[in-house]
Amino acid sequence: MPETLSKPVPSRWHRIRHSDLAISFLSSPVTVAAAVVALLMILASVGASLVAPHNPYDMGSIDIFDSMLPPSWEEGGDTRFLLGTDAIGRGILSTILYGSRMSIFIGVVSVALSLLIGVTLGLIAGYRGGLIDAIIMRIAEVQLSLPTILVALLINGILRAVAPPSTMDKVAILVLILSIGLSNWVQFARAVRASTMVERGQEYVLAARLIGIGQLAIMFRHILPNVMGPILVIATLNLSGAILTEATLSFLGVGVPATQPSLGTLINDGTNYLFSGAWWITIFPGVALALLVLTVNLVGDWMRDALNPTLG
Amino acid sequence: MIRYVSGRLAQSLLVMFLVAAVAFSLFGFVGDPIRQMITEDASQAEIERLREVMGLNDPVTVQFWRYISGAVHGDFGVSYFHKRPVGALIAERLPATFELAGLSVLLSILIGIPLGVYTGLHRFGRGARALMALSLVGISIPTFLIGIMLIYLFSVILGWLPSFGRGETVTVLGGFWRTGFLTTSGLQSLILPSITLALFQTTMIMRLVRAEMLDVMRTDYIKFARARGLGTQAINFRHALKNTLMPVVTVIGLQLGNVIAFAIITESVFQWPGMGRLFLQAIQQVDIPVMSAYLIMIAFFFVVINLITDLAYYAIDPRLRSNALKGTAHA
Repeated sequence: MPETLSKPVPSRWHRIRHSDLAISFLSSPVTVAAAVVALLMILASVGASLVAPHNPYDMGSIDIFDSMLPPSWEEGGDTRFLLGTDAIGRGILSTILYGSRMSIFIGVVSVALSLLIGVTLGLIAGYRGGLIDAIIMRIAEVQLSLPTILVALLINGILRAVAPPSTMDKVAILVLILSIGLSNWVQFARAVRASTMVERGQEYVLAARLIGIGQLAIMFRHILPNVMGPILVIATLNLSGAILTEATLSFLGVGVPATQPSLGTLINDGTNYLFSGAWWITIFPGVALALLVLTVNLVGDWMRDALNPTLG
Repeated sequence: MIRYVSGRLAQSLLVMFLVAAVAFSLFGFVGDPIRQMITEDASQAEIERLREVMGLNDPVTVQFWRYISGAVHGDFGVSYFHKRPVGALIAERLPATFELAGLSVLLSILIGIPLGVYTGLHRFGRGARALMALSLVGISIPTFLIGIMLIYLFSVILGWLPSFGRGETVTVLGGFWRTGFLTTSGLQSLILPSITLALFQTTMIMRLVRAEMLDVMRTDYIKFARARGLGTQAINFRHALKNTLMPVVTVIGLQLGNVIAFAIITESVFQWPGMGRLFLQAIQQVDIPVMSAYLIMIAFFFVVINLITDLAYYAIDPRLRSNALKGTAHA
């Protein structure tokens, strides 16, 4: 049609603003709110050393006389500590910010590990098929029938048995990342395998094979970019799960070392003071954790609906 | 038929064998077990004698065989930490976990199914939408946090219910089962942990029943039942609900494993003396015999549940039968 030809080319911003994705995003106020909250929490905790009112791990700056102060709006509160202080006088707001940084760091790295393992195994299983496919998918099936937290605990226990006890504090974070990462790869592998099996028969793959490109190059350079679509969605949905698993493991005392607490550790520490009425030490980190997981979940749910209506 | 069942059984045995191999190989990681048992001044000859008595000089395959045949008889060795036979430790803790898990499953069924029916029938009602939103929040709050909040509300502020332990227990069934169901304090102690453990399953069942109800209500036989002039009650419960229950029962069966896993967390929050806490302590103390035993028991539990589910499907769904006869594998 000639009319469309005469129209000016829309600017890049205009194209983004009026894309299906942006319209679907902006028409869901819950998603927008969730995304804003999640982004704020992630930014605040990544920049914890700039944002936090105190550095809770600088021993010089904490004062034991500030311990167990209630939130500033309660009777006996102190305006320096908005959310109160814990048993050794650290501001709860600051420990939450530093704690979320730990939680988010471990969550992101473990999801990256799951992604790496899952995508690689999924590509190999889908492209090669046959026995190697059967073995990989059999393992995936067995692992999928077990709850994530149980698999993570078992891997954690095995790694603890392997690592000498003296080095445990140093490798605790690595153990944690490995146990969460290894317990979450199956979803990635299944999604990548399914789409690889479709791509395998496409003309461009046949063409690549005809001109003599190696199997590895075909898998990673040619097929991989075409099967990455659902990966981002699965990664986002898994991020909230990974943060939850990390918090649970740390709460159970098999997570991060006490010197580098995450939200789970903070909640666990706080339970010791629950009976003396100091609810804020436990409840505020708990609220932060629930809010983080809920908002990431909401964004992930929206992404799944908007990008991949067929994805379970 | 026999071929399918025996094939499935062989598969389960293979899984159990692999798990036992992993559990056994854990022992190799912690160094010489003799060192944990002897005193500082033991002579080399004494150590050698102990090695011989304990069979540590035998080939690995012989030791593995001994471990498996012991495990089959409930003998998992002696805990490094508790210095007692692992079998006895587990037998002691088993009732606590089973009573907690059993009550939670019961609660989640009794609450989850009616809520699912309600939200499914009144899809756009205010109550149903509030329940769905609440269930999303419920899924996002981790189990341990729910437990802590319940403790704070009902034990610390209101002082109504105990926050830890099983309360008084009574021995029944010829002395090997200690139950908390027969004393007031035992029952009171069960309330908070079982609610904590049941909450996640309840939301799961509610969402599943809702989805199934929505599907079933669209089918022709429901329209036909309406056309026949049947009452709403009869349609909703006798025709619709009945047909949603098959997948629901399956999921509840498969969820039993989840309940056992989440019991680890709940037991930790409420200091419940069950198997989960035993396992958690074993991880913290690197107590290999207990860890291995728990690994084998959990695997056995899951394998049995999966086997029963598969066989039940096979009995119910004729399509699987013809596939199995033709020898084609199904997912």
